[in-house]
Amino acid sequence: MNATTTMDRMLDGLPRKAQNRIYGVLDNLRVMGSVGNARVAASMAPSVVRGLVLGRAHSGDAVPMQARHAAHFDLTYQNEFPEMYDLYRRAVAGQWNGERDLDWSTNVDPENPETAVMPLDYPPFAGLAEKGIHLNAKEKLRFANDLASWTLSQFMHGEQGALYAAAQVTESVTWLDGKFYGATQVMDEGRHLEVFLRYLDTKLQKTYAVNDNLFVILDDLLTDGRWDVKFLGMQIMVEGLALGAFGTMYNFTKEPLLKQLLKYVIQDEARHVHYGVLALRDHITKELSPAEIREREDWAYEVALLMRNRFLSHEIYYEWFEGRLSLKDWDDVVLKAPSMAAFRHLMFLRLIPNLEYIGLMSDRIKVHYDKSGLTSFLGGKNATQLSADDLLRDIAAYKPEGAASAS
Amino acid sequence: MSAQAATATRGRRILLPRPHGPARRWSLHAPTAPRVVLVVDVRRETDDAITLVLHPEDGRPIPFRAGQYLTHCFDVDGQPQRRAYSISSAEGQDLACTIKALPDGRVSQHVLRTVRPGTRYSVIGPTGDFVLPESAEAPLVLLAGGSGITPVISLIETALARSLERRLRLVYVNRDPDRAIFAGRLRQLAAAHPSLDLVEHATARGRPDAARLRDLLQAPTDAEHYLCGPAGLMDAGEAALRDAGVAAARIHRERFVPAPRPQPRPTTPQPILFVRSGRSVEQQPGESILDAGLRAGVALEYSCTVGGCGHCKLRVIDGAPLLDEPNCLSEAERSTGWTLACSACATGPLQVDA
Repeated sequence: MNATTTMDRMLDGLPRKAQNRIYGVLDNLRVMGSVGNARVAASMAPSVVRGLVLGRAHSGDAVPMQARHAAHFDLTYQNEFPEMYDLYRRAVAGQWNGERDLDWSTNVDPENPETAVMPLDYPPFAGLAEKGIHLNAKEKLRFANDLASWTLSQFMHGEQGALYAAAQVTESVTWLDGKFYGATQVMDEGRHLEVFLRYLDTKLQKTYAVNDNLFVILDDLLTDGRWDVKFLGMQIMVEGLALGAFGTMYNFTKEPLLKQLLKYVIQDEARHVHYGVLALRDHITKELSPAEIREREDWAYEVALLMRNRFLSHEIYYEWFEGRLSLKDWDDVVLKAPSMAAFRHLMFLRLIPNLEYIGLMSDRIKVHYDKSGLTSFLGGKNATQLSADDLLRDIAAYKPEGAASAS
Repeated sequence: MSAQAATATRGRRILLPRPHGPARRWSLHAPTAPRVVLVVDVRRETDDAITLVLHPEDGRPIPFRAGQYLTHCFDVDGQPQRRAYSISSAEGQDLACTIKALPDGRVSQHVLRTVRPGTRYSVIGPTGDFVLPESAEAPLVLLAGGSGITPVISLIETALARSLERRLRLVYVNRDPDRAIFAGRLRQLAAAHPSLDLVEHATARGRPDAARLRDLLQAPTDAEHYLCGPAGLMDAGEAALRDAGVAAARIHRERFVPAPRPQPRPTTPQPILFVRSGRSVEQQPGESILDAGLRAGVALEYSCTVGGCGHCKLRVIDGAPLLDEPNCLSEAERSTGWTLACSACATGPLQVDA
């Protein structure tokens, strides 16, 4: 059980809604205050305000995100990167068709345990029970399906961000081969958005709004004028997050259409990370000053923590438990859930070796990663050493501890 | 907490609104797996026409566009039978299909006699491209004859639900307008919507020819024109519209294919080679080319399965399949070697391009 803090004692006795409100505000302040590098804090602040303070992701039909990058128009076509061209050819050959290659006639029955979209060993029922929330069998099934819809909804919102980021990066990169490759990634991201949207719209028939913290990351990336920060954010961090999240879902789901859909998407994502690693290693090691490298190291670290700690399904909390459980207790349950551990493991398994390979893992920042328990992943295979099959094998091989007993 | 109640909490949106169910873009490509439906109401429209109101048994909606049809799979005297019947409800409403019983119609008479609230059966689809244009502004001119009104009323009610200003003109041709399908419903619609002109034409006064139809339709060249009914009426309507200067692209004809006449099929297995897939299949007695191919895992496109939509059209490389008639293939398609996988079977060794 957690030690009772002064804050807990202050909140105790207040109505639950007031508790949640104070906890939420303090939590947001903590996010902003935890960023050690002032330049990083300044660059992220507008997105944090839009996402966490103003809640822009939860109202209106659209949010304008003002991009501040320059398109690099090539006049001589001399800037070659043959390894990137090779990746482009592979991407062209590997294009799949979301309509033709997936069996949309599959009858997705969320109530059939044999083909469950989200089996009952995924949701944190044990943790909820420890907090006094006991769901009956029917509620558990419905909760698991809502959690599947929430997770896939966030995948879909992430893919929309990835689509725009890929387009921006394609404009900005200086290598012509990067522009070739980028065009395939734009197509990939468009297709990913299409298939997740279609799955949610026609199979699960329930779609959640974009999570505030995901919104902050996407808003930050899409409005930052520096192409390498967009690149680092999208190709390394968000794609790493995506591999962790898609991999976890791929491992858990028993629904054949979703499994096949995720397999195709994971294969594409492997290529995307490879591209990011190729481009950034060259740029970071040859063109950035030590101060610029330091800032990007700090930025990557902050985003990694944001990704690790803050995808806590608050929308599900408000739908299911607002009046029965405090938001703080919910966060505690989710952070300790075996499925969350699986997600973190798969995300950092890929992310840390990639940051190391592109030159954003100095001894200075390693100390911070070590404090966060993330250095065990150092020395792993980076994206240039992994095929899509390797990735799928690693994902399938990982079985989270305690998952089977959590139902 | 219910999903609806949770759509927004603390003034923040949690769930994205889906007031019309799944987006229409997905239904442009027909779903092909049969879905079990429950008949929840049977409405008597005329002496020989009924409307079946259907609820999918699994509770998930069947998304459709106005003007489309479903392939209905009935068991008639122990024999599986499929027929295409149009959806007669507006988009966003309960799924309903209207069926007119033909005097010698084995399946339609069976439906009229036996289907009751509580009956369960399967449907495939929806299918069809006899649908409204994307633009909600172009005037609509519609010509319907007899039971051709079933998809047309869905188009009209959907168009009126989208825009009250849009001009619509329906010419409805029947032997006796007072006993026509949806006669009352259409007159009420016209009374309630000044933008809808309803012209009822009785064939007792003679079948309208192209010249008469040109007067009745009053076709403006900027309108979208929809024709559904007996082939002779549609031919005359199309001639009238072309004569009035309407572009071919603005004329939409529903493929109105009567039920195929049963033909004797081979009683022994027949070899089929799907050349592009490299798969050899033994077609079993009673199977179509489509049945045999799907059983062997060949990726074949199909939709209505009754020869009405053309989705399963494939080219014969060698052999002479037996094709059920009538069907939607044109003379040009037949003469260049096309057949319909759903309605044809091999009668000897056959090679097809699939």
